[in-house]
Amino acid sequence: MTGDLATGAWAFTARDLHRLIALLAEEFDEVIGPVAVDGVIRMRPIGDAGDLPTGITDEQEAGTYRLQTTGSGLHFSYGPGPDSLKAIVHPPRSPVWTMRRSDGTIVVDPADPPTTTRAVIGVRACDLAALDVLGRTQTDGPHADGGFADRRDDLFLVAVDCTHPAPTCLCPSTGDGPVAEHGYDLAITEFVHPHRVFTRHTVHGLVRAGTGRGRAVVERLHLAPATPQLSAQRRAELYESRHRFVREMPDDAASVVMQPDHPRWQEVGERCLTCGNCTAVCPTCFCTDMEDRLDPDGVTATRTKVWDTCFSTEFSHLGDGPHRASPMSRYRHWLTHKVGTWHDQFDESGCVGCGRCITWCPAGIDLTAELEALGRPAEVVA
Amino acid sequence: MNSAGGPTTGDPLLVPQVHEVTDVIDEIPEVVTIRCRPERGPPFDFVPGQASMVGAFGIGEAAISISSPAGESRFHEYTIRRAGAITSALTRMRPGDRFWVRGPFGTGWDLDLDGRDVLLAAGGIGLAPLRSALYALERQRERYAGVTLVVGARASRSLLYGHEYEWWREHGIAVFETIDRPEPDWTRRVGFVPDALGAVIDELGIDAPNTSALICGPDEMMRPTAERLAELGTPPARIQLMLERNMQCGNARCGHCQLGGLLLCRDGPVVRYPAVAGALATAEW
Repeated sequence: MTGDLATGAWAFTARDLHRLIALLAEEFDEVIGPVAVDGVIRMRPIGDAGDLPTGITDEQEAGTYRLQTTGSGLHFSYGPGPDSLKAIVHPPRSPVWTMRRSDGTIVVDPADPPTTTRAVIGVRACDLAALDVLGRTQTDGPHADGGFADRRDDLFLVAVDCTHPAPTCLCPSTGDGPVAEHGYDLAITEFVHPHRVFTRHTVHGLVRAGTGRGRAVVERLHLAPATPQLSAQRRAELYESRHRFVREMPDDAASVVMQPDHPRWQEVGERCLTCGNCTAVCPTCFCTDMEDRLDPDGVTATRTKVWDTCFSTEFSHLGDGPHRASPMSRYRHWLTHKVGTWHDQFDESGCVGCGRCITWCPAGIDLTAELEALGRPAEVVA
Repeated sequence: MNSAGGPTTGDPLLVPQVHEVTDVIDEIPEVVTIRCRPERGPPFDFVPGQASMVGAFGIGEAAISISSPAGESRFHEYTIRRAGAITSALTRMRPGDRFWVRGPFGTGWDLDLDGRDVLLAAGGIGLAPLRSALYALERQRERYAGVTLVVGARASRSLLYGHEYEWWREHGIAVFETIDRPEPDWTRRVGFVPDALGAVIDELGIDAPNTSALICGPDEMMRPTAERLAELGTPPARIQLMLERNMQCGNARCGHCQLGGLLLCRDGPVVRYPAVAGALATAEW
């Protein structure tokens, strides 16, 4: 655990944030951070701290996402957007191989290993937890995905403690947040000076280092140690943040999903549109498909690994048709896997409490409500 | 942006091995056996019951069990039923054609069944993944009490590997064929596999509680067969089933072949009945 190595904290201002991003831009091929694009906070390559969504917050609810201007100087005053680290380490599309017909045989050319180095700023505690969960699905045991390991190893992670969780967030109940505790290189807590609100330069905070390379970056910024007053304010901010959470993962989630005949599955199956939004935004949903394409020349064929979703009928296709034909069975499979059978496969839950599946479900299906209903006796649900 | 997800060099589950078709054997309607060998080196070792991802150029891969004897050092055989685009392309191949294989993967049949009666039940093309087990059982026939195969098909012309049954009988394996409906001139059994199996156990006086069973066929054949055996006293943990689900990666990364807590390309395809009894009893699980 990098928590054992955590050092700091140092005092940190908005000006230092600019300097940090400038430094990372020199060191890494790409710096990725939150950017407000088309009314949504996405994780995108950034040039400098000016690209960050300053003075913006979000309104999230089941099936709802909106940005609001606050006028504060805060850069991270919103909950998780639709992007996690998943698209970076486990891209929506990644090349696997090219094959050519040549002299009566087939020549196989595996794709080159990824080499782009990246720093990511604005990573949340749930995203750090999800990176570990996702990593176990792709790299534990034999036949590890080398591309995933390469992308992961090159990541420099600047986490942000969540002081503005969304109402859809539930990470305290899954044990994954809201404070970054391990897995980061640097972690920032950002807040407004209590007596001088609404001026950009009064935003300040603390930074701590989780790794040696994180500490080396801090040393290059020549930051001053945090004062006791600053540390006390951080504690107060995080204490307040913990009381903003309204949703919870039920303690019995892993067992209530193992009731395949519970009538709630039919009921939610009628609301589910099987669009797959939840699996796309979920930071741990890892399922992929192989897309094989023959070039028009008939000589070259390429294979690309692409994100798949268990909500498609093709996902469970067998010779004679889909094994999970009904929307009910596909929703049941997703949720049962996420919080139930994931334990059998990977010794943990697949849910890190980010709440993205709740916000981005066009039907507003909320897994915490479904799990709560599954926990009630069958006869009172129908 | 370079974002390659390339296979690790050398891992035969990740890097395709190009194979040459050396022979194509027409089996039953819509089913052929492809005999093949790698372009380079000898065929890889495998355990009976293991499968490979078998690839058609530019189209895709299908998970196919290796049906040749595990001791055969010259070639592998894959028995393939024409179903979709991939298997149609694979079954159209001719000697000299090239394709690729990633494998072997998955669990094999547990054949450490010394002193016991071994009962094999196959439905349709489900005999293909049992064929290498049959040859392994025949090779060490003295280790087992009885070895009995009950093979079922819709019609007599759909009995897979029919030309091999006499050889198996001559080598100590009792073979019982059954077809779903009567046909003129058909003198053997008529009826579904679970019923035929029950009758065979009765007629041969097989000691069901001391029997180990290997079952492969459609889910709707395996479930009643396993239930019948359990009723007759065979301990459920001694009933092995081979399950088919949509396998795509073969290395437990893509998520398609989940059955409850199992990733069948890694934890299967051969599983013990108690591990899947609940799953098989639940529609669309």
